[in-house]
Amino acid sequence: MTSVLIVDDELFIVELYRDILQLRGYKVVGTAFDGEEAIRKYRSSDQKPDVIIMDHRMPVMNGVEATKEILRANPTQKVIFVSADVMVEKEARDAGAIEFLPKPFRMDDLIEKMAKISTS
Amino acid sequence: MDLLSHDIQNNNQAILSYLELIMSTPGTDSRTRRYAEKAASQLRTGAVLLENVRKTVDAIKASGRTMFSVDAISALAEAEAKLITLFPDRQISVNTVKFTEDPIVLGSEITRDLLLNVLVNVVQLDSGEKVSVTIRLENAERLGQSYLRIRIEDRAMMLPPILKGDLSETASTLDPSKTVKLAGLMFASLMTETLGGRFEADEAVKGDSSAGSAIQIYLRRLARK
Repeated sequence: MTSVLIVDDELFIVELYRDILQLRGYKVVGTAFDGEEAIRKYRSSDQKPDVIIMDHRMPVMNGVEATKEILRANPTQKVIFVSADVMVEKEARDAGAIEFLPKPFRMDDLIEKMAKISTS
Repeated sequence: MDLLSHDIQNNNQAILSYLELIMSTPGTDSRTRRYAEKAASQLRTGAVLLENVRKTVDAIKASGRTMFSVDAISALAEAEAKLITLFPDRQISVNTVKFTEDPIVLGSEITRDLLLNVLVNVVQLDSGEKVSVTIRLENAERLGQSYLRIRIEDRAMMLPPILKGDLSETASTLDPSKTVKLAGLMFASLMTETLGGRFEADEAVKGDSSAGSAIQIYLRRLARK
């Protein structure tokens, strides 16, 4: 079962992703509401998630900075970047995000990308 | 604007995802599914328009913004490809009449979005299930300035007669309650102005207001170096 860490500053978005991903058979192993919390939870987890769904615009630390930090610790970590700001796509990919989805996206598209990642 | 757009897109994300849940729930009847699909389609369109508003506001705010040469044919092709994905429930055909001359215009990062915005509005203003759009590119001269005119015609798109002509000049005279549906075109007109161009609405067939409408975007010409 593919495990997921969800990082987004909006509680309703985190709950939405969690509910839908769980319905689709994914295991949500953690949630974080800003980049710093994501790094802290990532570092302290024994079992690293297969995929991180990362938002960009968040308080304390944004998604690009958090992605860089996580990939410094584990260069093979798979990060799917999601953001309402399409202008940040290049920055996100340069930071190491493997996929980028502009909000609003279809959950089917997210699932498709996650399935592709988990089989690669 | 960035913050506002971010919050609205988060809300759009939630609405779209819940509509997807309705569509994928076993036992949802076909009519409910169709309504949910239409709502999702409208929401995606709204999201594109919002993104265009945000980009244009950014472009307008940026003093001394960067303008560069843009291949109008490539920008149109990108906009057409994106258009099809935005309306999965509509049968859209776009026929771009072959243009063999230099397609280079003065543009910026919003050129493709402008063209997409107009195409999205044309589809929305055409109430048919099947939408047929014809695009013609022509050279044009106005007040000593050379332009590339991009004419987007739809025989089933009906615009109010008052809109015919230069949209940027007539927009301010319209009753706001009647312009809601046309807000996207008003916005496209503003986007065109930021590129130094002109924006017009016209009849698809001269003298026959029942035969559809055309949008004409004039983008400033640049000679290929």
